[in-house]
Amino acid sequence: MVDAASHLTNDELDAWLEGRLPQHRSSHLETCDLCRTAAEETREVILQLGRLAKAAPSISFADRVMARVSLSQAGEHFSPEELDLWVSGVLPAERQQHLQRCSRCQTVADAERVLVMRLEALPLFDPQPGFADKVMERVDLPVTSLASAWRGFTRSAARQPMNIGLAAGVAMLLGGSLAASAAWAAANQDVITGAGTWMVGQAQQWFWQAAAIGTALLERQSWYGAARAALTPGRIAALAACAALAYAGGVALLRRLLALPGPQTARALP
Amino acid sequence: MADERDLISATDQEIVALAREGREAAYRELIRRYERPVFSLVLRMVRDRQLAEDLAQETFIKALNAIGSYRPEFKFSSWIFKIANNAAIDHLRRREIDTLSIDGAPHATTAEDIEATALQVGDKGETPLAELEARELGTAIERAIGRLRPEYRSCIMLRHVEGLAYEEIAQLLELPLGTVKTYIHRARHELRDMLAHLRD
Repeated sequence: MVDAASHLTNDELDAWLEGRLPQHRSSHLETCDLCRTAAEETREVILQLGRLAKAAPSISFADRVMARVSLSQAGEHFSPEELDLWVSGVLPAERQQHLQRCSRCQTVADAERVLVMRLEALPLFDPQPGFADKVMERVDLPVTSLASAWRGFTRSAARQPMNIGLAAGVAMLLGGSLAASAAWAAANQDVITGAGTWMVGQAQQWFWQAAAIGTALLERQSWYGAARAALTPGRIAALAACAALAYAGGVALLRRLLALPGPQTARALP
Repeated sequence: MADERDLISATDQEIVALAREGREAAYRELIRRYERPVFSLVLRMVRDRQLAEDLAQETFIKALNAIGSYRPEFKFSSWIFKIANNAAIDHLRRREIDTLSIDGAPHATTAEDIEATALQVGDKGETPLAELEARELGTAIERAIGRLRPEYRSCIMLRHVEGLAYEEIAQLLELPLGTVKTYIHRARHELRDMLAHLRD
């Protein structure tokens, strides 16, 4: 019994027909009827094919071939990009000559030119009247001056008439209140003057009372005597100078820390 | 202060500068210049006049309210076309999702709900607006454009109706230049095929 796995493959069969099959594989044909039959049948088919009569082409065969040869000598057909250039009228003259020899490209190019002309002649449509007004109703103009702010306000007010009523109501309320206050003040000037004098007098009295209480409390402190003896005018001046210097140093340090990086530093950053 | 005649002869960049100063006339001049191109682009994308009107309005409102963030090194036309195209494409994508519910809303469980929420295909009344649309978009080439993929449609219109360069379209649609060229070539190829019967 021959192992099925050892049968000749199609490639090995080809190699056997061409006499290239190694001896250790061709010896398989001596023991395997299946492979031998397949090999002999194939060889017979090839022999039969080789004996088939050669059919002659028609008389015009050569002319037809030459027609195609001259076509291919005309060059490659137009690419879409070249078609584009031709329609735009910027195709180099040597490529344009191809059209005279290639009816296929000529047909495509003519159709393309007509199509582009028709596309370019397509009309533009008009939106309905009032299109710009409808758009402008919903566009917020930027506020760059008092005049433009006023224009924007009037536009938005006109857009929503209810806003006008609301704004008029608020204005009337404020104006009415202001007018009433002014009228009352004009009629009661003595009351306003009296009230003002009383309030100023009260404020002065409260200020001096607070100062007297603060001073008395300070003098009662145990360290007050020593501090008063230590703070001579010279020491006070030196202390003030130190404080001013410390403040100036702090400001300079803070400015340096908060300064933006210079161009060199910025380039060095990743 | 520039008068209306100056605005008409001013460049887009000059008008944008005036708009940034809050000049309403400058805003109106930008709308006057671009309302037709923007509306036409959107109408050819969505193919519905009322919807195109709304989307074109949204485009201008969005652009003019953000005029402060517009970068003058780019063309204003490219900027506004980009906003308009995005609005149209977003709408088409949303509609594509809605179209999935043609058999009724997903939450519809009863037969009545399904019938009530189902898309009524073909029951559009022939309103004067629909008649106008049919007349405007009913020519062979308009119908052919309508059958293109939205991406091809916007590319072909930006290129041949608005006259933008390939590079501008690529920048505007945020697509590689090669992709834009391919879209336009394929779109033209499809249009040629669709219109071939007119040549015969």
